[in-house]
Amino acid sequence: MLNLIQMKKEPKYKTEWIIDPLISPTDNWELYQKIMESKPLPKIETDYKYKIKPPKK
Amino acid sequence: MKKYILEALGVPENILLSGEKLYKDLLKQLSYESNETFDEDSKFDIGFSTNLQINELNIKKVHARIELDFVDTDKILMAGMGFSPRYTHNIKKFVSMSLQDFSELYISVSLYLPERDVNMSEIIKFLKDEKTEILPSLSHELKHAYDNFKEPEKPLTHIVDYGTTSNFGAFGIKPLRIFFHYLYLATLTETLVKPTEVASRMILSDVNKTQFLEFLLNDKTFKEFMVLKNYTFEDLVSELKSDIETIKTRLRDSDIDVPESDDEIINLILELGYINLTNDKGEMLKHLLISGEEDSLLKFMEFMGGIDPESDKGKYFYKNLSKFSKYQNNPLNFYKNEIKLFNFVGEKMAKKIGKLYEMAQDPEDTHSNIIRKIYVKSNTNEKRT
Repeated sequence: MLNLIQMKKEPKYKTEWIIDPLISPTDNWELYQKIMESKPLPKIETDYKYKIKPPKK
Repeated sequence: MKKYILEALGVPENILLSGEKLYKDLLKQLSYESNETFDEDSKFDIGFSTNLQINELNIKKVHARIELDFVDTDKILMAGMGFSPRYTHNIKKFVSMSLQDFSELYISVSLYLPERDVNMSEIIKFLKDEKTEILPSLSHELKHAYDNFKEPEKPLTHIVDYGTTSNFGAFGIKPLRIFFHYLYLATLTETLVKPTEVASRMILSDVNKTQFLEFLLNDKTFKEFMVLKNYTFEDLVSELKSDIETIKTRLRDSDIDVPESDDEIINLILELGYINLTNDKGEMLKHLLISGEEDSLLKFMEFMGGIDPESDKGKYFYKNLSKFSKYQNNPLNFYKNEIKLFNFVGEKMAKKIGKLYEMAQDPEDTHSNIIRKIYVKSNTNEKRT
């Protein structure tokens, strides 16, 4: 019964793509930069977002 | 060309023929929409039946996502291509698993269009004119699909490393962006597909053994791996020095005090690059761990309050955060160690791509290259039908 339920369950597909950019910074920086700068650059973060505290044992 | 030689070269049997067929199928499907005109960013999917054989993998159906973005350009450009492994994340085993039916291929083709009305027939003409660029990229995506078929399970951290490296903008600073581009090139995911991409270019350019060296020395992928082989930390620093004004601007744009000396500025931007990459990795891993949670109440609680550090998931998360930020006390060592990896990968890949010589046609003995004969024959047959 359990197997049957599991079989009926739809797999939770994620839609991540392995994207290969075809305008590379080494090929044509001016074009690459023009495309990049069409979107605002994110602000530079100056601190680590996560403090590394190992969980208590 | 014997099958075992092709495999040693990293080019699965029939992948180049399959790339050619996929290219033709795609053009044919798009031609059905040749009256379509686009004037704003668009995204659409086309699905079609096919028969692509790559070693033991048989692809019977293709789902192609076409993405069109209008940008400040005067001509149509290829923006990128992609492959979707259709992952589901198993957070109990901390792996991403491709559970898809491998007979179905999910690819994406992204184009930049000039800011005016663009007709599909123009897009098709562009895809035909740029065949020597587009076909090797399609073969590259097919190799990603084949590698995924051979190894459908990947550690979550593998997805995080690849995803963050390929997307990291490096604050728009050229030498830093190029460093992260090299990091992306040096990933296993990319090095596995590169020989196929170069082999596709070589066959398209009809290169024989006498022409091989010249082809190789001018091939963009080979040249990039040669740069990786010889790249040094001093090169990175010197390139950053040449771009010091851009770095100062980017720091000021983010309200960060600009240090006095160039050396201090460079050390600071390298440290900030490392901090931002580490943060991106932490964010992505957290996203994967929470989005993969099957218990919807727990997922909601984690979304609101974070992952419980006492849980197995929390322990895994913090263990990997420690790994991501292991150079926290000396971020320059991150760059130095990655550059050692570049040198190793660059040398290995340059040698591997050089071995494609075996696939080039022998001008004295055309019988020596069975792959090429099959390729030519199949295209001749297609023209006859």
